[in-house]
Amino acid sequence: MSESRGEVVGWLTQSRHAVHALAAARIGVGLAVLGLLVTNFGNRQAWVGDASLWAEPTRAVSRFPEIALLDGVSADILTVVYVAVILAAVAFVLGWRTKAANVLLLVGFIAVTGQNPLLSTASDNLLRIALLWMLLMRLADVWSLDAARLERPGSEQAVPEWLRTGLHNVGLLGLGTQVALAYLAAGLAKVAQPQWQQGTALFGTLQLPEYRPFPWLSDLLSVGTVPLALVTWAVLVSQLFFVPALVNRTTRNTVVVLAVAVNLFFGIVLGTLWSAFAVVAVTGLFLSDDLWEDLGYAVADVTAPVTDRIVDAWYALADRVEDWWFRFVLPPVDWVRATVFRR
Amino acid sequence: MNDETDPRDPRDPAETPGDAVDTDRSVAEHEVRVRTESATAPDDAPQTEAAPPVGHTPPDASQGWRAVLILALATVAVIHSVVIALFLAPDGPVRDAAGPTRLAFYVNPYFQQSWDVLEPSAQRVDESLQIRARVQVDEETVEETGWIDVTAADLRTLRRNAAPDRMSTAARRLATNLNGVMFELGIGGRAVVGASTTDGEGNRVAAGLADEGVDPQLVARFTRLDTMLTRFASLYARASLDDPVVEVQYRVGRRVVPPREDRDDVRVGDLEFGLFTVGWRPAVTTQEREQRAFDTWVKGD
Repeated sequence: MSESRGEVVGWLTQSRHAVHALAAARIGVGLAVLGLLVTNFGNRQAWVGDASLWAEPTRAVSRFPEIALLDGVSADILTVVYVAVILAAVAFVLGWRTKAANVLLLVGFIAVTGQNPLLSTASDNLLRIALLWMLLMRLADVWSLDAARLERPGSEQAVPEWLRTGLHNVGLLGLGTQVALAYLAAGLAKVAQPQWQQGTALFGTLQLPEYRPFPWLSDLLSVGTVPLALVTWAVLVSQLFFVPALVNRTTRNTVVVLAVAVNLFFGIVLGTLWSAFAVVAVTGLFLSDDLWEDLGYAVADVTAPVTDRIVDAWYALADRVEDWWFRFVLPPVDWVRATVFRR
Repeated sequence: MNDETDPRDPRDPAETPGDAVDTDRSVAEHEVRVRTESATAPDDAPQTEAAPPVGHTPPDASQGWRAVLILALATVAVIHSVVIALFLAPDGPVRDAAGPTRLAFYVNPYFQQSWDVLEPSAQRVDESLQIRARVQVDEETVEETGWIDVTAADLRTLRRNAAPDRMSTAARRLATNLNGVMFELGIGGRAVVGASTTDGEGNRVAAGLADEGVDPQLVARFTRLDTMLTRFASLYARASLDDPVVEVQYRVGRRVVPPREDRDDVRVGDLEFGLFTVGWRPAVTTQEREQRAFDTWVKGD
């Protein structure tokens, strides 16, 4: 008993787990929110602004205090806040001041999407819950601007290392369990229905006009018996066996890849891309961290020519700004200090 | 979630970097460049002079009150997860013992979720929202317009678009919700809803439904939806029509995807909608800026 307790305490306190997987989740969640907000930017007034008075009765019964931030504000203020949330999402993706970006993104995301509960989706819930748990975690240990900043000598952390590590692992436990429960609940609900067992459950969905952005693709998948059964069972297997497959590294990685593929595929087929992206972002938590690290190296290799040029251009720009600062800004400032203030 | 540490990382936690403070920018730049290069060439990267392994905590953190605190927080996370599991569980004795109302109170609003959070789900009902208006064509004449199919207009924006905007689903969501309520209202309730209420927004309907013995919570749900649909129809009619809108009416349609065996003969688009039509409502007055913003969405300016 005490040995297993020691193992649990060791897992919780000795090192932060899944740092690459969580960095990937941070990027994925940020992109899902960013995609949603950018896609709806043009229609923001009808969705959550002045012209959303038609949705006010559902807003009135919402229990989110954050929606008061935007309730009844002018179009200009909505735009300012909306853009601020977009910028918070960008900062979150880049891992720049990640914790502050996390807080802003959580509050801003609820404030915006909460204005119109009628048009919220299940993935809004998932994103909100992920952002909540992420408050406890260290999401920017790798693949972030913060990682570079905090590695510099002299940088200090407000929270002691042991507490950061403990909170990180508690948050990982909470979010991981939440995602596993989502898969378990979805899989069990589906397998109880005969149409999922028979491999025909998605016929109706693929025939509905609202879920047919590419009608030829939907017909290709739903009209033939074999394609329909394959995609239906792929969904069922990826959800029903997700939790049991977590016990073994090989099966875990396999089911994660399957679930990610299924979600992205149906995100495109059904026209629910950003919702699918949100699910993919948190599903990736379960992929082994060393695989994420390898993937990171592979991406870095592929993108090196571009990123190197960007870094070089950035240094060149920084040099020019510095030259300009020393040549044109500091001399008059020094002159004013020396002559006017005599300091 | 996984518990592997990086087996390829040979760095010793004891080999922490020194306290040397480097303020020289060129040296700092060099360090950043080294980090960038090491990210692209892991095999050649220096492994020992950098920071300890990412996320490493000194061993003493697993001792004493600190460990107890972290363990307590982890226990809270586990208890929370059990509550979420009960909330997501199907109706049954275990869930009943926990108390569905208590579970919902805990979960709402921040952890609100449902079993169908993961797409895709099996669906087979196509829904429609249509509106029409009575418009003042001159001082003495009011004319009725034809029905405007709002959902059909929305479908055009969904074509070849894997990430449509949310407003393109608004009419369908309203129709879905109202269809559900209309079925629950029963024949008597639907007769009340279908009657004209041109002398007051919704109030007479609510009273009529109460007289029919409809559950007060259902009346409240209908009233909310009726208010939303009347406002939506008013805004949409004004955005679509040139003459002043006096009254609006809406109806919601529903048709079911035919069985798969009949797919060669009939598709859902070939079927007529089964319709629920409500009575005429006075057009809701809105501020000019609200209408202008709604016009932007409808007309796509």
